[in-house]
Amino acid sequence: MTAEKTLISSRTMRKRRQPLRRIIGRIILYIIVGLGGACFMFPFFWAFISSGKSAAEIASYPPTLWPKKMLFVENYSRIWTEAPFLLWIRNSAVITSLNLIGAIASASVVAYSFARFEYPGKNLWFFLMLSTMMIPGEVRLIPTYLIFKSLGWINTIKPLVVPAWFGGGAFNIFLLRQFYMTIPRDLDEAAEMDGAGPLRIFLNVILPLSKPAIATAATLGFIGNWNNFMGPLIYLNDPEKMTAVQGLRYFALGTTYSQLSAGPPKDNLLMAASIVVALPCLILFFVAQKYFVQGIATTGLKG
Amino acid sequence: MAVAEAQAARSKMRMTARERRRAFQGYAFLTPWLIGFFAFTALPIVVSVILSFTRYSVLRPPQFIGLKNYRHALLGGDDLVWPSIGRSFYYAILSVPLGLIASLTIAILLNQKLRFLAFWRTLYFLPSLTPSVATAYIWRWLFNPEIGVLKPAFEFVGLPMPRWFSSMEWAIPSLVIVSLWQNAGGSAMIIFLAGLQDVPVELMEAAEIDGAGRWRKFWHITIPMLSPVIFFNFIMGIIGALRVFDTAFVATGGGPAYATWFISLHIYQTAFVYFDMGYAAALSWLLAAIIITLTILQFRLSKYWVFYQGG
Amino acid sequence: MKSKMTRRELLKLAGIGSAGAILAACKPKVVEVTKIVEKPVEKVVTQVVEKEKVVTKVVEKVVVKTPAPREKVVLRIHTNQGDQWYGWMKEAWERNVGGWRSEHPYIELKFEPVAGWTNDYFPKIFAHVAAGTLGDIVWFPPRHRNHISWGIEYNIVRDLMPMVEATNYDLSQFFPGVVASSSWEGKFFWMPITSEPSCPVIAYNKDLVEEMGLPEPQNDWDYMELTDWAMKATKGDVWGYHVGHMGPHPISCTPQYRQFGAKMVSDDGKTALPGNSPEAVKKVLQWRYDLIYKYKTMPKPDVQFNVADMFVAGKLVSFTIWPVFINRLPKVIVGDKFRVGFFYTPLDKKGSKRRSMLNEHVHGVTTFSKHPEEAFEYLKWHSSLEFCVQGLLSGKGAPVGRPDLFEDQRALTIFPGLKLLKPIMEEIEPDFFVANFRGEEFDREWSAQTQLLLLDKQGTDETVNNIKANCQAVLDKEPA
Repeated sequence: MTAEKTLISSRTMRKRRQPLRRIIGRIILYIIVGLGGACFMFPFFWAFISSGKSAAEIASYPPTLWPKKMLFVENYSRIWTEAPFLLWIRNSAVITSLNLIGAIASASVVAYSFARFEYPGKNLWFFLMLSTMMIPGEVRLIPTYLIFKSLGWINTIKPLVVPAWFGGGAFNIFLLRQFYMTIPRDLDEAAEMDGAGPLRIFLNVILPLSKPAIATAATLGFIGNWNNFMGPLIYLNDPEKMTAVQGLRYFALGTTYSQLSAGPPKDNLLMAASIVVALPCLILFFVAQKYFVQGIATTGLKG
Repeated sequence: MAVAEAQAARSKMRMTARERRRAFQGYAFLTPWLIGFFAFTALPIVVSVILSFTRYSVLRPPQFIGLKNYRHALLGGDDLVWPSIGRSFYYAILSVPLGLIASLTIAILLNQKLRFLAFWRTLYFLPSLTPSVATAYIWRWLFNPEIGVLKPAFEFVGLPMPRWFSSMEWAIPSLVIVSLWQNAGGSAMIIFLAGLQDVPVELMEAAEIDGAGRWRKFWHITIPMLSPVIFFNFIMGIIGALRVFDTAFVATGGGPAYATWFISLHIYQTAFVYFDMGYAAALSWLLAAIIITLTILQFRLSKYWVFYQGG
Repeated sequence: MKSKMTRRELLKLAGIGSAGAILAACKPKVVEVTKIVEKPVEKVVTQVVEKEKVVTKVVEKVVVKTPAPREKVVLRIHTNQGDQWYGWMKEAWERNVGGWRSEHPYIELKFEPVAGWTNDYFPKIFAHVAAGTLGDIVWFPPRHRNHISWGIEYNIVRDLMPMVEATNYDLSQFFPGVVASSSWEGKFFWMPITSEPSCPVIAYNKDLVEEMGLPEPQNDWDYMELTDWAMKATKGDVWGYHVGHMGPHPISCTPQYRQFGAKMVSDDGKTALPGNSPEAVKKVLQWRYDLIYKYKTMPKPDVQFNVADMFVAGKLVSFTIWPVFINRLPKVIVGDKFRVGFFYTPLDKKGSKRRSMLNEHVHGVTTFSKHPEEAFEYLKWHSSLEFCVQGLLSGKGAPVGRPDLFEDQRALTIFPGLKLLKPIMEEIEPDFFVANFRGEEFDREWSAQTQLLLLDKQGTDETVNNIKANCQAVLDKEPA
């Protein structure tokens, strides 16, 4: 039904328009999208170019658009040999995936509670939940540390993973709740008529319909975890437990950003490391894109 | 009279039975969060409230000093508090509306039937995947007033190039540019995109049959249907902007001459560099109070413009 | 099901956790005090017990208790991740520099480096202190003697004097100023791991100077001579002289103010810019301002201006550097591109005495350490001649305040620039003293006002007045 309708409407639309006008419109659209994309990609492009330059060339003016002497191979191999960068990336991957699974699982359940149930204290809890997003994290740092310490979790990944399994973060709950709210209640009620309990409604009605929201939350959660700097800094002690972003700071130390720090300038290595850290996100997002878009497209919300 | 009362009571009781069951189920689904909330959030928060009434350097036991921290912050004695809050607001006022407009524009562009859609989406999304530490370094590189890559571009156009992070006037706008680059194609855009995909096709078709043009469809269907999503992005944007820390911490370190000394930076420095954990706790609660007040205000106002399809 | 288990477990643990958290938050100090008292007693007891064991076991099994190998000791070291610290420490241990590792087979080093500066490092240390999980050795970059507060105020680090005396360790192997800096009322809290004068040397591009036909810079120049030379060296897109590492921060530019007769803080550490110090500060600030706006030998101050990179790229003829770069700049950073020379920063007028300030990094043994003797053994090695010489040769380590290092032929043949530092180190003046230990805040105010001047946002008089007023406000605060 739906597919037919769309087909018909698009056919009529196509008929209505002049082909030339349509083509020009398409070209303008591609130019706009392409220019915007170029603006967004330029800093990366520049970081990539810089990562192939020598320490001297990176500081020369006017900047060279392509490395005079290409040092891509040398600079990128130096990242791995100067520091255990591969290990750090693996650590990041472990923490991120464990955290993400728990966060999505528990946030989707909790958001269901907020979106579909009425109970005393709900507004209070919801308000408290939102408030936790607004309280600056700095001040919770020391008390939170003490709790994990008394649980014996310091220097393990548990402080970075376990809390995600209990609530999944206010942001995710809020996001999913907002999406659940847009799902018509008629669907719940129809399922309830058929004798489904709340758990079945959740699993069979709400969850399948919220794939786009869950995909969104997962993607955002991935970024948040992958880029988390303060958490690993505080809770992990051993160098071999460090994460990729901390690894970036290692190369940043070599730049004269902190003029007191010492060592040869490593701006080119920093750029190389930045690209390497961003790469898994890029690949993952590119692969997940298909399901992500599918998830959005197959939602039942369109009718 | 008595009959009516009894009837009312009975209907109330009947309602309560179902309500009670639903309430119980609601709490069951809420349980994971409740545990996490009390263990990992509420407890540290309570401790930090207590600390805000003490003089506490972490290294020595806290001393109760009553409201002294709050008085110090609010009634002078710390010249940096109000200017820092002002700077955070300046940053938020610049970055949030610009960011929302940019995100929505990109989402609408990427919602068109484009070839290589996956490629385009990834292109716009990539900056938000980049760690803020890396982002800050890359932009310091681009914005370098002496050897930066933007300098030839400005020379070509014949405009004097601002000194970006190094100029007191341009430091915050520079951070706004960085934030636009990092966030415009990021989470807010994805949420808009998901929202756009949820706009019912029937509504659009119905409007088309009624002869509505693009703009009318956009203003009268897309925007109202998107309003919960805009609201969500707006709140998250404000909260994020008032708490901005990472890029400022790395790119400018609060300088030059306090030009980017945001309240979050002030709290961090007070707590961890100057050892005033108690005072930092008080400052955090000041910031929290501002953010919470703003959010409540936004929720109140949201009634007038946010439209929930399922509600 | 699985999550239910963890939940129950977690509830239980969270209960313990909350109690522990509040307790620990309220009185972290008491625990440490008892630790210090316990330590020697515990040791005596275990020794006695061991002897008894030997006696009883002789009867049963003679073979088991042969000369007891020393129990393995793990030292946890909190330090900075930079090459100068963690980088070289790890390499030195792996390379068995000075044979220390093979002499101490029972000591295992476990480094816990922090990637970042004090903004990243202090939160980590504080969290450890609050939770009682601090390791054996901590790092500190002192600011106006605030490192003393970790000894006398916070009780994070131990007085090393008893161990110095017990092991007959000779403190006179260091320059007197270096020992004085970490001493307080007969106590000695920190061992030096990097000690250098604050920015007394200018590096210049020898080849470029020859090419430009400029005279070789001289060690006895005054400020005007340097300025004239720098103006001649400024051509096209090449800058002549940049104040470089001698930024707006007092830790790097104090010697310059002292050179003109300023006292940053009075001797008792309570008055900012006493006497006619403001006049002297004004002279310096005026010169620094003029370098940018009048003589134009350097660009406006930039957050991200990277002098080392500009220098390497040949866009900068000379700049003031941190001494630690003296051994890095030629070999490690510049490579074979051009020759690098060094000369002293100028004097206020010809023939006057050169003023200085000690800048250092230190390591201390924590009060939490269960192995203070072994930790001290490590620090002795870290401050030893061999460790430092090899560190300099490797291009990673840093100079330590010991005279024999600055005379060492191995170091001098490779880094002749080191020669310039020795006479300064011999008469090194201490860092100024901020009595309430709020040195970082003092610096922040000073730097901010200087930056306002250098960005042309306020005049010299206003700057000096603001510095005096704002820094005094910091000094008037209650102790940190």
